[in-house]
Amino acid sequence: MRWQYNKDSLLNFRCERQLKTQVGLLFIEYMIAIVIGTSIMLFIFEIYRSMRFNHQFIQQIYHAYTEAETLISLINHDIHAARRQGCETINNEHLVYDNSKQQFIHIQPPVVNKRSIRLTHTEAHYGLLLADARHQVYLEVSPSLRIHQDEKLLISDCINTELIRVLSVHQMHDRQRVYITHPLHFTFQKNAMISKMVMVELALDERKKNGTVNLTINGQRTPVVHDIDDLQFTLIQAKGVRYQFTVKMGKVTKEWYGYAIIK
Amino acid sequence: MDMPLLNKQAGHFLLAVLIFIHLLSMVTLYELSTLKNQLQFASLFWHIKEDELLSNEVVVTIENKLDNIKKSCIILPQSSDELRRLSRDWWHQFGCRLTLSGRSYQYVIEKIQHDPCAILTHQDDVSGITYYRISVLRNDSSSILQTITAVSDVTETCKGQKHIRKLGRHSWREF
Repeated sequence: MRWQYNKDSLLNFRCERQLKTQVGLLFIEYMIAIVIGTSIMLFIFEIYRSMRFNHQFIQQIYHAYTEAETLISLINHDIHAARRQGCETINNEHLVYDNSKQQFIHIQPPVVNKRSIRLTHTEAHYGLLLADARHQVYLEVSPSLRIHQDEKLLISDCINTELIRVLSVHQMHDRQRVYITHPLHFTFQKNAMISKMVMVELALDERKKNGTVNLTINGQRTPVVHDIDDLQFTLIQAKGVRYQFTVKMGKVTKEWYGYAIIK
Repeated sequence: MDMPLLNKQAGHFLLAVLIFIHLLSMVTLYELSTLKNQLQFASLFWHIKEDELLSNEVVVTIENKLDNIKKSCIILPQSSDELRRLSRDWWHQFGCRLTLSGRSYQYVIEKIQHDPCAILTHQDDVSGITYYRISVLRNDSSSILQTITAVSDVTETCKGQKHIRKLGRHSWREF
């Protein structure tokens, strides 16, 4: 190229050269930008994935903890409720009069199998006796507690406790008259507590793989806790129940142990 | 002549930076919202647990001072459903208050039975027990914690056969 000082041609040359250089640099810049961008994207994705993993792990731990806590409170509650009936603590020394059998009986202690526990206790809800009852075949009970035929009730005024079976119920506007199979053995004063007896069973459902524990109350089964394995109960010299189970939730596996006093 | 090229370049980088900032912001916002939910959940769980423990402590405190309990705290016996149906206003108006760890709990007491013939041991000459039902309204779950407690009360003479009973808590329920 023959050089001549020409302002315009020099300017054109510089622009042309700059333009060429600029095109090359832009391509490299794009490549670098793509590499850096991809790296940043991967980095962000990795952070996100790690956060998701941590989040899921924390969720699993939390879930495993709540499931275990629920099961422990259910077992303990039912075993303790079996000891404390009506307004009394019932144990081996304390007999209850069974009205339908016409004799004093021990409240049946929990029946412990390896995979289940079955026990009888009163419901938390109670009604009140609205008039004194003395050796009679019917009771005046507050309407809030819905009583049905053939149900077993426990009436207790803290001095005496009696198990009664319902023959029929007559609903009135402000009370219900409950007829029982046999006359009352004891005298109960107004405001004695009346509550329903329930048969409760807690057992691991063997048919399901996810380790569902069912709570059965009077024959009605409800799944209450999931992801439980190896639920085992052991009766210890009729004084208490030891239980253990494993919670398996994703990557979390935790063994739990508990003990509840019966006597 | 340089200015248009520079402007064009700056635009590309600005766009890329904005996209990255946008992505980062989205991820950060998502994680912050998740964290906020987790903290709220943990806080709620903590409050419920704390309430459970404190309400149990309230019951124990009341059981221990049943001898000196105010008469205004004693109400007529009610069934569990009637107690449950009562509003918080009723509890504030007719119940008594006990504050523990900065939380106030409403409670009522029902005198359910006096057993003049109850003795603690076979050697006891003096007899008499009164049974009280203590109901505490829980703050967080609006459920009621209830216990039946026996305290020594020698106000009547026994005219029947004496029998052994225990003092202290006899039953516990929550509904």
